[in-house]
Amino acid sequence: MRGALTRALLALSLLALCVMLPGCGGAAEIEDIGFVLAMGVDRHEESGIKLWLQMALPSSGPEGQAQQESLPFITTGETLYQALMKAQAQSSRRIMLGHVRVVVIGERLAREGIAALLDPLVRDGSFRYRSWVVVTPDPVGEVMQVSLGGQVAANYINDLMEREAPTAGVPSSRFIDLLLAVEERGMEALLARLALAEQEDDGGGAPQAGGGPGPADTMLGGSGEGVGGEAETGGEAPAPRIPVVDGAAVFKGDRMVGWIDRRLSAAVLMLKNAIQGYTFTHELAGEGQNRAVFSLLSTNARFSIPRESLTDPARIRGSTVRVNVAGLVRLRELISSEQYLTLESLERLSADLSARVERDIRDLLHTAQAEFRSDVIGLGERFRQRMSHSKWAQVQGEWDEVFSTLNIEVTANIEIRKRGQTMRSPGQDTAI
Amino acid sequence: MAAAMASRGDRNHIKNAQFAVLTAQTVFSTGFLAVGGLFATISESGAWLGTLLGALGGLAVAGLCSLVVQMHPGKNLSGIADAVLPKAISKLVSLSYAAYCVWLLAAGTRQFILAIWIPFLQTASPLTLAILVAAVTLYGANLGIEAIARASIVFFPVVVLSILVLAGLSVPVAAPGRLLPAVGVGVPELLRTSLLASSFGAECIVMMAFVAHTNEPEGVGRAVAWGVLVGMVMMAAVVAIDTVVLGSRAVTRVIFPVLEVAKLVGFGEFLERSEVLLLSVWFCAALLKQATVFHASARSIADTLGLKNPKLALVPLGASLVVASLYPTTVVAVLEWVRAFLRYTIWYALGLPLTLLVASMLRRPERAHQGEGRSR
Repeated sequence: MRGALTRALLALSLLALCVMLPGCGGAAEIEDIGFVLAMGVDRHEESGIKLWLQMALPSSGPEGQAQQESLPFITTGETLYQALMKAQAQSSRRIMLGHVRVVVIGERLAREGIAALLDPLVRDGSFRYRSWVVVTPDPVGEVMQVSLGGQVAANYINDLMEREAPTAGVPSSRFIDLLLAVEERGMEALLARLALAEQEDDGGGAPQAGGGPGPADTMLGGSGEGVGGEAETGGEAPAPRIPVVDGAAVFKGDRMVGWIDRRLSAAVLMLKNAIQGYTFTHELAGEGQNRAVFSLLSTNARFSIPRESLTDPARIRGSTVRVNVAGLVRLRELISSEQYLTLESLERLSADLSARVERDIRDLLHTAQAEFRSDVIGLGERFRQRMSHSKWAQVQGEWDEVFSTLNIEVTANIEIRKRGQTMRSPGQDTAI
Repeated sequence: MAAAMASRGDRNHIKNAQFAVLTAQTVFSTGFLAVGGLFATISESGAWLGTLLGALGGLAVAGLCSLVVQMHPGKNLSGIADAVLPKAISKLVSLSYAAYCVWLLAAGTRQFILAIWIPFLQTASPLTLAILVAAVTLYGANLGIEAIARASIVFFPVVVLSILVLAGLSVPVAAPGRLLPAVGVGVPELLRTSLLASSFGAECIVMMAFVAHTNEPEGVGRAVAWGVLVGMVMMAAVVAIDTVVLGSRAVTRVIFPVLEVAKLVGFGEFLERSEVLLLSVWFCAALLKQATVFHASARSIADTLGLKNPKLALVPLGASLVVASLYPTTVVAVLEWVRAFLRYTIWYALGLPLTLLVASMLRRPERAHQGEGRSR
């Protein structure tokens, strides 16, 4: 028994040595490694690629303090890897991409194509596919310089994408999502739009971030007279702009073809069953400024594809695809004399919300089919899954064109599932 | 050889449950690393189904082995070959079996070294890794099949659990629809995939070197069949996980898809970077598999060369394993090597027990006539 135990211990020791010994020769101190937290990439007139790196400075201090310190690098190169090598030449630390939390891509580069960016990143063994990838209409350098409450841009944007993006109806936008959309046929990439917006002040008004579309029914507060980016300041120190996620960049292949606002972006997520708490304000019928705020908890979109289209690819063009979206919402705020305490009134409100969702989805489909000709809703993937490979192969090469000819009929059925901890608003004397 | 075994008495006897676990471990523990990409290249979304169907080939090999073993209770492969074949052909069978095991050993070791080296230990020397893997493998083989079986019964359930954890963590990023259409590119491609996948199941033939060690000989066939089934179902599950997470086209780009999936999944920020933990578990199971195959190789070589003590073959075999596991030098060549292994070894694994079965059936009337049986 003792012999068996000794052997087992010996075996375990050898196993441990196997894992540990190979690292002995190439040990690297933590201070010698440059942990890149954020990468910014945009088009550069002369070199081709301009790269911003935000490198963490590990310290022996408290964790909070360590998070605040970062080292910026700005380089250029004909390719992303060349730019990375230049940054490496400038740094005494070995650049490591394993901790990149966010990749910020400039609009100009995104419109020219980002396939060349993907290659060095997927070849790097340490780069994480969970990193966020966002597109910005603002100067990338300005986004990378953001520092709020002691948080560097990488951490701030990471938190923004983790917590705020779902309620803003912004797509998941991780590196793996981009990679899948570029590689798989029958679906196009949709990346979160990150813009810089003036901070709120007492003046009110709506924020106008970057050059993209303004939020259709934004929950963000207004902005005052802050200045943006490279605008003049007129003597006063410019108010720092904050990054906000708002809408999405639509891609076709590896090229960005346009922006959609948060309303349409949320509609994409509804059709992909990926909505997670998208919050919107809904104007209620009746006198005065009655309104309610809802969170869309979940959706279930069911597509009905005509059988003949699946068996005969030639009949896909112009065919009618029906989609029914069932959704559950939660009432967050109600400013109205109507408190919706009867079944009839609730059904009326549900029908109203359903009509709104139908309208949003129709607007999205019109934009995607007629304007961008890009299957951002992944309908092609649904066709692929239901067709034989040989039949799908006949249309996959020209899918975006086929997609733009489809007649997609939308119906929605939105149900108000939760209304919070109160039956009626305080001060309203409506009886149940 | 039988005398040497007998002299060790009960020390090297194993139960059928351990036998089944050893079989499943042999079938699963190295091939699963690259299998997702290899098979998705052929049948895209149908790779998982092809892998599952590949279990049939493995079960066929297991069935043939079972029939042979039932006709020769208490004998290992070499003993059976000696009993039913002329001496020269018997030696040839033992030698070919040793060559099969060495190929399996080298391919498995090379794959695992690359899986550790490329993403995690780029600055380490592959020679160091090869020496360490060979040393542990040799040590495990030297302990004997009973020690390997005991360790496997501890580690393999952890491997099963790790795959379940991987599947669970994959749920938030998985799209099950990517497994459709289930036949993938087409039925011919699906059959080709299943034929290649059956080579993994056919690795159960390694267990022919240890059938005499089981203390429940009547249930050996069932144990091997269960082992093949469990190993192949796990492998199909890994291919399915690779596909639902990485997509049926994107998975073909990645060298070791299961590692990429392990890097990708997590539980919030709590279980991030868990791939090293998973790889450690898989690495332990792979080493135990390698030790099993190494032991089988050593026994076969000892039988071929007429060595009384199979341990004499361990050190030269270990040295050759170090050399063999350093080649081919490129990933492309390694994957080509693995493809060649998958393409051809199923036929060997089917042919070997079939030959022994036919020879046994031809010999049976003769032995009945002589009224005696040869034993070894």
